[in-house]
Amino acid sequence: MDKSTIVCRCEEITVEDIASAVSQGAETFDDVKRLTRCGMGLCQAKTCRIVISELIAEMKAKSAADISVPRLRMPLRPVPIGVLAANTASGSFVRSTLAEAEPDEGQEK
Amino acid sequence: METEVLILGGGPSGLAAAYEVASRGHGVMIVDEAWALGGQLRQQTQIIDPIPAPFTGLRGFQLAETLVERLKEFPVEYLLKHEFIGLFADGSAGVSGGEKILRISAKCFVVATGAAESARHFPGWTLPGVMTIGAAQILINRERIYPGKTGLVVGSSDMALEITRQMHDVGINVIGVVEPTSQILAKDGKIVSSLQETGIPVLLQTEVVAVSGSGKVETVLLSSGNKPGVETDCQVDFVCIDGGRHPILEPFSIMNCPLRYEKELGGWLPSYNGKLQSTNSGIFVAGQAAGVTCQAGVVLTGAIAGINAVDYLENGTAEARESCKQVYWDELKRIESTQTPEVWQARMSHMG
Amino acid sequence: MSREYETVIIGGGVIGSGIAYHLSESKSDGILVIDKNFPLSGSSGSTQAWVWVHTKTPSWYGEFSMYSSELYGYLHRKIGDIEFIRTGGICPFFSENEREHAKSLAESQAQVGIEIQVLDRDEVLAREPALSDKVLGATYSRIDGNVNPMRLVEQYMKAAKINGVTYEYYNKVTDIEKKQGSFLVTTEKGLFTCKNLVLSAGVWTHEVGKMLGLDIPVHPVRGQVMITEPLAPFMKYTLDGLRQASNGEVLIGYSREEAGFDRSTSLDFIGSTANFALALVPDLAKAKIVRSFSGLRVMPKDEFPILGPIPGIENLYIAAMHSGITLSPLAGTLISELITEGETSIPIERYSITRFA
Repeated sequence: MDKSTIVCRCEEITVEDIASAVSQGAETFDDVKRLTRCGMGLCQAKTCRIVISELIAEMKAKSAADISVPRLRMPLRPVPIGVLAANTASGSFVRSTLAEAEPDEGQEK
Repeated sequence: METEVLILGGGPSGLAAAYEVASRGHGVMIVDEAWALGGQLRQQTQIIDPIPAPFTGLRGFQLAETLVERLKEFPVEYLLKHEFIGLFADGSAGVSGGEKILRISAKCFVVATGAAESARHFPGWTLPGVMTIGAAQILINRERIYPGKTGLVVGSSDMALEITRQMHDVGINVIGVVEPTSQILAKDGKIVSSLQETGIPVLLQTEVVAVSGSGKVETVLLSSGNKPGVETDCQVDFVCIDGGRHPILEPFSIMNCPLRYEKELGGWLPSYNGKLQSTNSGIFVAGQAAGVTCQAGVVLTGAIAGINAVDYLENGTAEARESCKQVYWDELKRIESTQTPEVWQARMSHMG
Repeated sequence: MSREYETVIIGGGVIGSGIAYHLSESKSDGILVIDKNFPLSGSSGSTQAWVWVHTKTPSWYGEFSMYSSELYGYLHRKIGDIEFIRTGGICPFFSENEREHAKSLAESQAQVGIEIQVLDRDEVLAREPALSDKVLGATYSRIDGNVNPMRLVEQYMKAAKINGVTYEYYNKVTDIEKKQGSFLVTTEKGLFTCKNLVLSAGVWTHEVGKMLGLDIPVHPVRGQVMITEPLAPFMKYTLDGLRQASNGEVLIGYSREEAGFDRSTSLDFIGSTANFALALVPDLAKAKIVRSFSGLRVMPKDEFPILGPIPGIENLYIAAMHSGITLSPLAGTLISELITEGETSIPIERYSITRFA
């Protein structure tokens, strides 16, 4: 395949980009994803997972069964923050780092 | 919200599963992202064959209507135009209709989320006018929109040839079907001869070198294995890609269902046992999600998963249900092992 | 057959690769990094990647973070573009008690040279108009920023390899022994021997330590983050809890959960974090979340870095800490100073593993 062919259209990642990640030692879709951003765009690898996995397999001279499936993450569809927030308890998983900061008060740890 | 069996996907397998659960008096809810039930059957205009006895002679969309119709006497709950987006920590499902997240707790799930079409890549595949063969069918049969005037089909599966015929029938000029390998991949002789009647050539050992055009598809460049070094230009305004289909994995991935690779079932798919039950025990797998197969396989695996979900709810099976399952398995075996023996074998090996 | 190296580094994440790179600047060969997967598959690739200083307390820890942050200004010149931006950091507050807290933080951090301004409502809204108008004020420091963690680790690796460092990927260390002044490092793909051994295996440092009979008090603390679709640039600063990356995506949240090695995410987190995001930046309501991820923070028992030689076993070093993104240039510099010169340019006794004895 032509090196400049796009394989991940969301992030415009080419065959050559994949080859470069593989040449650095990446072996799985997730490895390649972290180096190139392939599959990180709006479709979350729904379009490119198969072809990129096949490409990695080919470059590594492995079979498609050896290329594990990337981690697929929630939400399974893009959802507006306002929709996610509606109807959800506002008890927070997130504490501010300011609240957690403990200014010195003479005592040294 | 609460239900006994939550079915993800209102296509043929989800509908078949719902029937088995609801007709045995259990609560069932179907979630589907579309506004109408029936899934991919809704744009199928051909007669579905083979198919188990009560459904013979129906066209795809009619089969969908029939599967929906027979649920009407039961109190099935529907959440249409709702997307399954994930799970809460307690295992309940999060579903969104665009305003908020509904939380649905269920005793078990039937995941019938189907398959997606795989793309094929060549320079220019991102140009407007390049689409999957399934997308072309939706345009023609569901939206009544022509994908273009003159097109080329890349790939020669049953599905590709069937849709090529449908394009021809509505007056679209398909200049050819190109197939990179040395043989037509379609297995159904009737579909192959139906295409041959149209005179549309199937170009074997032929590959797309590139698609080009300014802002849209204008030219396809083909190379033939028979004539190395010779590349042929074709003027078209659309290209359909048949890259095969693969089970949709996202729901299984977030439900922590282990996956396994079976080439003949469409690649990676959730592991399941002889009850079509994932290793994550409250999850049953049905339809194309359980392996890419024919429509009969989709309906039958849905029905089998549905009965197994009932067994799960009732903590054991009953003789009547067992014999019913046996009938469905026999049908599935008869159809898959004659139509697509490799699919049946892969399914058997997958179930271990 | 064993392969000999002068230094073996176990773990190629931001800390291990940072050490490999810094060490390779003064010792050009004999360095091997062993990673059980591929770098970025652990904590280093699952982070908001702030380079963050101003709320790091006590002040001696803030000072340590500040030194590392200052090194970022030079890092890209040495290893290439890592998309580091010193955006400045803002911690908004929504209650009056917090204003007092903010002031005492500013005073305390000033002792070590970390400049913090306590902004009033108008000042903070003038700086970052996207913030909720319910904000009462904020702490602000110009020193904070963020970096692209994928680029950072990739560039560390590339620069290290150019300097002669060897990497072993997908190779798990299964046993370590010390014999006659050499470490014998057994891996799935064979034996390596070395004079110096560095433990920088992140959340797996405890497991690696056991091979040497050590009980290294490090455990994983899960952090979930969610990410929006790319949005037109509208946020300038790194806010406490969210930031906009250079590609337009907004990264939100940083939960702290005791969940062992479980890296799943949940809608509970996503819903709660969505509420948090709206409280901070109401305009995000229409922004779509495209994914969430979770990472495992490398959490020493008292939450401060474990850094330096491990007494009792000669030539054995450890570098295990959370905030590894912020601290990697400094940790890399200090461990390579220890290995090449036997001493460090700033005192690090406070971070010695001996404090847990």
